[in-house]
Amino acid sequence: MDMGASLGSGSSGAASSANTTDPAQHPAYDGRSNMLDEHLLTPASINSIEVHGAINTRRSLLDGIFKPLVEGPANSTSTLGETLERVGAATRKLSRFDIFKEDGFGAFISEANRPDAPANRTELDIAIAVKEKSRLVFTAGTDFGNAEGSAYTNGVFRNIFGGAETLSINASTGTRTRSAYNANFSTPLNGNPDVRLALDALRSSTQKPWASHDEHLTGGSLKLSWLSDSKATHTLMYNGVWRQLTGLAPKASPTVRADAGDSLKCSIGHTYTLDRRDNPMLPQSGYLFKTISELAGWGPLKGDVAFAKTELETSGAVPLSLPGSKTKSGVSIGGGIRVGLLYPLPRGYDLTAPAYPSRINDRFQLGGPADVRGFKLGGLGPHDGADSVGGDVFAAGSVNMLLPIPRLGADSPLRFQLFANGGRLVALQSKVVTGENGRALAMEPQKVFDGVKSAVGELGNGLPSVAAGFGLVYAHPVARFELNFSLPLVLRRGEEGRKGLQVGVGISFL
Amino acid sequence: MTMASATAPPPKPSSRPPNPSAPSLWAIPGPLQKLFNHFPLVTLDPNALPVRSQVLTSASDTLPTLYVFSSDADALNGKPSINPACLKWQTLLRLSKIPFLTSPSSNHASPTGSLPFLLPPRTISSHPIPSGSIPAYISRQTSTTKPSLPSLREEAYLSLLTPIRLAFLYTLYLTPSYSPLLKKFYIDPSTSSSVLGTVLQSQLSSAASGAVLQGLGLHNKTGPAGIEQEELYAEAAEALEALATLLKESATGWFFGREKPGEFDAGLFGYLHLVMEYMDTPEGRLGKLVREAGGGEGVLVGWWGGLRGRLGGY
Repeated sequence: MDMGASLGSGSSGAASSANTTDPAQHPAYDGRSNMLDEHLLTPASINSIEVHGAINTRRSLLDGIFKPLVEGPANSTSTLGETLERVGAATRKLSRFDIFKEDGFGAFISEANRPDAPANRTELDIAIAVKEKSRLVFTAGTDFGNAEGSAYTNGVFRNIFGGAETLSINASTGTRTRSAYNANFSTPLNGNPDVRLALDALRSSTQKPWASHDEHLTGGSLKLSWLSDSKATHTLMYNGVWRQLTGLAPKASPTVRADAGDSLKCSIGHTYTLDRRDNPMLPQSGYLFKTISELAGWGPLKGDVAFAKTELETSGAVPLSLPGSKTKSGVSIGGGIRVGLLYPLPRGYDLTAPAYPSRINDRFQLGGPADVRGFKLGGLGPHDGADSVGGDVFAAGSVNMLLPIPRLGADSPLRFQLFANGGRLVALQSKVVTGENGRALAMEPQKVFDGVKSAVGELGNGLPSVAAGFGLVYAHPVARFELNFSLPLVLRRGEEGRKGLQVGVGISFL
Repeated sequence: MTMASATAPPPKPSSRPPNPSAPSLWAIPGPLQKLFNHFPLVTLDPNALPVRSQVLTSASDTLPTLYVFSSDADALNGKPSINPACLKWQTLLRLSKIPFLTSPSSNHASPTGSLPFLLPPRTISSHPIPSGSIPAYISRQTSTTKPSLPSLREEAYLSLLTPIRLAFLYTLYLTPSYSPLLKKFYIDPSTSSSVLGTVLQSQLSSAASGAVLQGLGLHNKTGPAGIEQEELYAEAAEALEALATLLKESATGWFFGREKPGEFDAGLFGYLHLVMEYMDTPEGRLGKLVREAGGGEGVLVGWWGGLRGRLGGY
């Protein structure tokens, strides 16, 4: 049944003799046995590569990975060690397409018997065995996102056209999401698993109890993601979504009532993530740096809302070793900072035209068990009655210390945690003319600038709202669970702190 | 399920139930409660509300707000709504001289799923008042006696508004030449997007054709194809004629000989104001019907002008 996709021979190039290669150039092999060293240093090139088991995979996808190995200039000058390293790298690249089983890879190497082979080089025939993952997978289960648990059914159609394209269709319902349907088609670009283009369609209905309403979303996005040389992830995105703020609670505040209804957001965005943490669920060393930028409604983007929005997050942790002990102590000190700003822009091209202040579904929310702990979800920032109505500028920070649990030790995913965290979330400040007549929403550019400036200034006005506490952290591979006891130290009237126990489940924590 | 807590402050020790032998499982132990009472250590001034909220709602700290279909600018300046039902209640409130604000809105904001509704001042209550309870609200606020229930005669005339309503719906929502007006009234305040606008407009039109069909008793028909245009306008003409006759009988110039215009006047004004202001064009027939009702003496037009003058600024 196996259908090989084999590549023809490529190299018969000029030989370099074995003794011209300086072993000192290969410090990586130092310390190995001389015999292996000598073997790895013999000149070798690839005569052919065959891939077995890639039944549904397009030849061109495999060519893109393996052809350079055979036809590239390096093939005629390489040693056996280098050749094996290149085959290994190509195989790892193949595995990143996520269409082959991790444990299904096998490589078989034999000496090519070609009549016109050069005498001073070993020519190799390489056979790589792969096992394709199922093309059609249906799963159902439960999932944890930030501050939400959900149940889902998911259908994945893998490798649809043989070029590692994936179509994923997902339906879920959760503690906050009433229903969500999502279809995502993604494909590698140019046969490169590290550059992917994805088209996404979404329809969902989510409860927002902290602001007494439901939000219905219907939209789509086009995303281009790639991995930079420094292993940072970039994502460029175009996003169009129809938002409907509806299903208001009987006691919804005037602010929420005023924002109820339809709006269209069209935006472009960029996300940059550099994650150098040892374990994202329980970071004890390393750092994370992330920026999210979004431009909505300006120029050709159109839509009903226009703003520039940017968010920056950085966090890090340092392990502490106990004096006199060389083993991992499991003790670490970590910290994180998150800031964000929303700047209203005029719709269209004219930057001197008036802009409209932000709506509740575009503003930031702050506070919650996976965010600024010791506050309710959306507990910080401006409140209208019981509704958290969000802000245009925020800054939040946290420090925490993780300690291993006695007897469980440093290798257990369980930690004792001490923390203090706080933040400010403020809305754009502007003097509003009130009264029965003469109210207007549009703001002149200078007024917007002054408003944002005074909001940023307000961040440092007085103590931030702060809470501190202690608790347990359990790092499961899919999510992090926290059980904390905390008390609010500083807060503003209207803000909702939480005294006592608080459970947090999520994938990213401040 | 994402958060669980034992934060609900239990009654203070003094007000505890006198039966300590059966403490609630979730009661916070006394010492812990004492600790909780010390926190937060510092409480600062509240955060200011966002600008959009301040513009749209800050004046509602002291004034009630009527949520209506309208453009942002018109609603903020108290101009008449472009929806007959909203305009009816807006007119009635205005006639009652109660100061109130209007806010541009959509059905999504309403507790009943339709506009208008009245939100009392923020400082008083956050419970919205549906339109049907507005007369009671007015009588409470103005300390006048509750308006008596409509007499049988009034009720009979109330039914004359139905054919006018159906003809109005048909003209605005289902006559292609009024489609730009429909867009200006209902779509432009919601969205500037042509794609979303088209979706919303088709939803509106299909809802309107459903309402007209239902009003005509044609439940089993679907779409505007089943609607008999001529019949619709003939019935509206008949109703307008009857109203004009009724008005001619009134000594005060208001319906049923009342001293001041009342709920019935406001209800008819909701339609006639929109017809005369926006729909009295050659391609529409309603304007002509209103002008010609009562034998071409312009009875209804005169009544409309008089009420408009009373409202001031309309």
